[in-house]
Amino acid sequence: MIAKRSSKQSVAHKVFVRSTKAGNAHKIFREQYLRDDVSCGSVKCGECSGKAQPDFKGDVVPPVLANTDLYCVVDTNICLKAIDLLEHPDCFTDVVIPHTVLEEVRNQSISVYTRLRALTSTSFQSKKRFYVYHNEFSESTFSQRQRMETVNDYNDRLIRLVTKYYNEHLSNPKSSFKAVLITNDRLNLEKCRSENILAASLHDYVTELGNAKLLDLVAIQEDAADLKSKQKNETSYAPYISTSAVLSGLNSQHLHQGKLSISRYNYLEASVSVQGSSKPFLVIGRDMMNRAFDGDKVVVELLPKSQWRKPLQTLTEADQDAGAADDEEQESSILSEKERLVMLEEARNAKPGEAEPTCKVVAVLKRNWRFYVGNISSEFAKHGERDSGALRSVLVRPMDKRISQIRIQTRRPNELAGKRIVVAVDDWPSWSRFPQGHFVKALGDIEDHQAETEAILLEHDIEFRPFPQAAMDCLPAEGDNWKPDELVLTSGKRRDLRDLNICSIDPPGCQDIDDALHAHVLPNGNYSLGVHIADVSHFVEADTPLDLEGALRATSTYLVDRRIDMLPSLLGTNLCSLKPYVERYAFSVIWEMTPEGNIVNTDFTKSLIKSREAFEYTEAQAKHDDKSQNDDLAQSLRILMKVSKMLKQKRLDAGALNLASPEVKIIMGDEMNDPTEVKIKQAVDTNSLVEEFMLLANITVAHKIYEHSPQTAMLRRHPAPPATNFDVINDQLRLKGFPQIATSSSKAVADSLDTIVDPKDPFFNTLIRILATRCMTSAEYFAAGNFAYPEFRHYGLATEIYTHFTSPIRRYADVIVHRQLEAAIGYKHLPPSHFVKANLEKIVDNNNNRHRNAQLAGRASVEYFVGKMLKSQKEPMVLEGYIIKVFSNGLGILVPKYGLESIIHIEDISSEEEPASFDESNYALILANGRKLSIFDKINVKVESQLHEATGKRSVKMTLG
Amino acid sequence: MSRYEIYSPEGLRVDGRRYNELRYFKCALGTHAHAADGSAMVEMGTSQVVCTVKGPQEPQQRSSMDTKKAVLRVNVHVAPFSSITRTKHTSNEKQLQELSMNLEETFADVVLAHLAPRTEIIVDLHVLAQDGNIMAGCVNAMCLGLIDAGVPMLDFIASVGVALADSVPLLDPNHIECSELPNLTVGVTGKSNKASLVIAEKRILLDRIKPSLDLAIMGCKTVHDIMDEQVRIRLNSLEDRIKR
Repeated sequence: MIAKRSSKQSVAHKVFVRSTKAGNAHKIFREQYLRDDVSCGSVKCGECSGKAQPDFKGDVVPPVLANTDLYCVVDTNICLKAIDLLEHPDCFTDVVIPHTVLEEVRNQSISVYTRLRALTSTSFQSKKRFYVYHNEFSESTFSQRQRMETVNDYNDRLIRLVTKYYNEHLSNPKSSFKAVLITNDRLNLEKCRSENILAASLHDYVTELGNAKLLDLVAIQEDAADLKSKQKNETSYAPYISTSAVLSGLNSQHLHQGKLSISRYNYLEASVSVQGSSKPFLVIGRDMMNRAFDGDKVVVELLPKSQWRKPLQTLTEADQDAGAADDEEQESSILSEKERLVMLEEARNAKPGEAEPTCKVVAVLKRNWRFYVGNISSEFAKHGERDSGALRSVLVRPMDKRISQIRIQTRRPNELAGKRIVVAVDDWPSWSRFPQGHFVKALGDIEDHQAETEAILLEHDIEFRPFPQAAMDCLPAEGDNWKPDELVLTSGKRRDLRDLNICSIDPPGCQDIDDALHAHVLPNGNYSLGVHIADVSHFVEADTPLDLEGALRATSTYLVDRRIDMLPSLLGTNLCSLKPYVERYAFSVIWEMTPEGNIVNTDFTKSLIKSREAFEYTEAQAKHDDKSQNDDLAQSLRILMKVSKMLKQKRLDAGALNLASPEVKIIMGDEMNDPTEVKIKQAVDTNSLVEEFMLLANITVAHKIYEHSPQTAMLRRHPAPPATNFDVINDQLRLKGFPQIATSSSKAVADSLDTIVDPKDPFFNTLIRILATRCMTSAEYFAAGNFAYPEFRHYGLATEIYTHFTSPIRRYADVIVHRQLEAAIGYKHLPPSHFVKANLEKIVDNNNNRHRNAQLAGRASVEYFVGKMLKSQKEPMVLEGYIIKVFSNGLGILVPKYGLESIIHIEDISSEEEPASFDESNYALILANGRKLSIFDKINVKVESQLHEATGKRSVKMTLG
Repeated sequence: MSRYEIYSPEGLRVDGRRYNELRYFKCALGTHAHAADGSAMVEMGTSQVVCTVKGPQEPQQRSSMDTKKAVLRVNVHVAPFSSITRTKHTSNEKQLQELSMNLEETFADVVLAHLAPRTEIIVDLHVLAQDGNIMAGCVNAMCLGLIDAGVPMLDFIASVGVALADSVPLLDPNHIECSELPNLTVGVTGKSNKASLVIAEKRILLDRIKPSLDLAIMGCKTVHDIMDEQVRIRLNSLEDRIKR
């Protein structure tokens, strides 16, 4: 190892001014060391490879760019806007990314940066060869920023220098090599022309390749002339205010910032929860939302009190105004006629006094744009007709009702009609009614099984691509033949528990067995009870590519017909999975408990176990109940059952909630993947046996890791819901003459829920439990340092501290907890990245989001399959349903048999001439014939499957039966 | 994720250096010859430290006198304009006190204090610009200042920092690297491999210390060579003056 000194000549300085959050200006003065050993990264060049310097490990970065005739140099905007094209296998084979561009990309979008970096980590043999050229550190391409030159101009000039350098550096009289700068910036293109540097716009480059399919992927490019005429024609949204105005507004608290979430029932209504305000602010109407998407971080300004109002009581779905898109060009306003009517009606009905604060969006800080799955609106294209080949502008209707239609340009609208397609949003200029985007790919025909499943995954942002090679390389080389190493036992850190009678109890068909249990009587009469969890952290080392991939996925996703794993299946279903009859590593929590149920001793240890049997719930139940069986396993099952009942009683006494959700299970028929039956999930005692022990293990571990790392312990909390959440349901219960839900504590809620029964209808109690569950807040992961101890409380489970420890195969949070527990018991040091709270907070956020998305995807999948099953029924079914929500123009219905939830639209049960009246205070709709439909009523509904024409989405249509 | 690509896959750092490269190191002795008995200035990249040494001299306070050896007193002053944001530092700031204490202890090993009992040596360090940790700059400046003042010493102490980007040690980190990464400051006596000063900021895994130390020691030796050159230049110029 040698340490080198730098010479004075090699130092350049980068000086720039940056404004800070507080509104101050900082002059930044940074050194740059210019080098003569920055390689051009091309295999053509003999000169550069000779100069290459080894890195710390002694490796030299090999040249990447191949011996081809065209290298592309890309600018920042191309990277940001056309990353899909860059990733496309048919274009952009040899690409130079100047470091200036990479830095800019990194500042603007970390996700694009990661994708770019993934492209650069390839070798010259692969199909795509991307190379980052550190132009600002190279003597040949560095240039000092000139006086009065803006940063953008400077960066553009640097990129032009790179193009020039490559042309000169690699030119060879024998070959026709060219480096071309790809940029959409008109000024830059002009300058290139005057400086004699080869340059092309993205559109021209792709046209040159002569692949029409690729052209669709190019984002819409607006000409300046076009832009002007558009601005005249269309009335526009209010322009966003400037960054400095935002900063000063936020400082003076005249503006507020928060995340916009659009209502699932009405796309015209959104709310922004703002720090310091207990109630979220309402944003009503498209012009007030001002081009913001769901999930965007926005800055809002409160409207004057005279414009405050209550939340909308009307259902509005985007697809109701399908016609509006047609006459888009003549449309002079942002609101369609239909939307205007809804708003007007609402304004009329609004009562003063109950008004809630409303606001308007004045700026968007951070877009939450992702890929959107949708289909081309049918009025633009007919499936089966030939495409003329001319570029046409069409609207794409996203599956997510909360998202506005997106305008894209394509040459083959008719080919794409009737298909599920993925689009990306590029921009939403203030003069345009719809955001502009571009086509990314087609998933397949609407209603095609594969396409719909993929659509669900994409819509919920679930990573379902195969695991990257780097992650797979982290798996044990032995693969399926891997065997636990008995030598580890001698180190004294891992305990041999192979002699214990351990068994696992899981749902039928479970392959990823996370947990196993044991119980036996100790000589002193106490019980020894153990929970053994798959030792995932043994295989997944922190900060390896495998770990990063797991952290990104955060959870396994269970769809009806498919499972998206968090970890490669070699680990999930084999090496980690606590399969019976084989030896496996485990992380064990062992308690000694008195027969009365008091814990005398707790022990955590890494272990080597051998499960005796993998039971299904019903099998375990049968073995437990069968008095004739008296083997070790049966006996331990009985102990486990006895203890679990004690634990459950204790928990219920403490005020744990017994909540309900309409969970259904879909029985798949044959290979064709057509569901044959839908069942509500049934629970047996053994379900609760496993659950109780998992809860106990989680709580025990939570205490331990919190004690060891009070700042960074990964815990899970469930905040108590504000009492006002129950106002509506309690009002409804009062009207119907039922007791109220007490809200003072979880115990009170639990007790009062028991009293709300309808003697004639056993399901009624469950219904109320389902609805009460929806009034609660959702549980979340958090870093221990971010809350005070009293706020750790898990409301639903009625425990003061909780975490997730028991499912490391399918939840990443558990893997972190395992590592923290390892450190707490001195098995292993905590990896450095886990010390940093900021790092943990990122993991926590990601876990919370992914967890929710996985659940939503699971539900969407069930919904899709129920729809499919209904489709196979020839006649509409008449089923019992409950009214759970009453709108002025519809009813929300829950059908318990299939866990179906849908809406009866008022158009279907009444007509223009005989309108139904809405009795808001009694939560009832009164039909023209005098029939009163009020909340909680049990009614017969006709259920059929309906293919929505505009969105191509199969859903459930309900009408009165 | 950090705002910067701290160590790119191509092996370059935020300012274009490779892992084993020092920033441009400049030093001079006798920079403030009229103001003190000994003075020196050290620049490491854009950080700059000036050192003035007074003594050995009669102690100002008799209470701080030691009958066996000279007392070394270090005061560190950080100029308010030394970093990007203008902040006032007072000398009784905890960090600065800790820094001066560390410096006193480090140099106690090499300064032959027993040769001048009942005296004190006052070292004033002025940090004029800080880019990265100031400890290394202070050690180097103090070493040269003491030499310039003619304080008898066993050997040089040269110092340099090293930051850890995952498993890669980065020599002589600048302030971006220092704020993002755990880092070590190492001081080495003369040409030996003896580290007389090791200070770690943030946590560093034990198995990663070894390669970092190796690199830091190499860095210290390079710094030692540069400083040695300057000392000889200063000596020659003094000789010239005496001859004249």
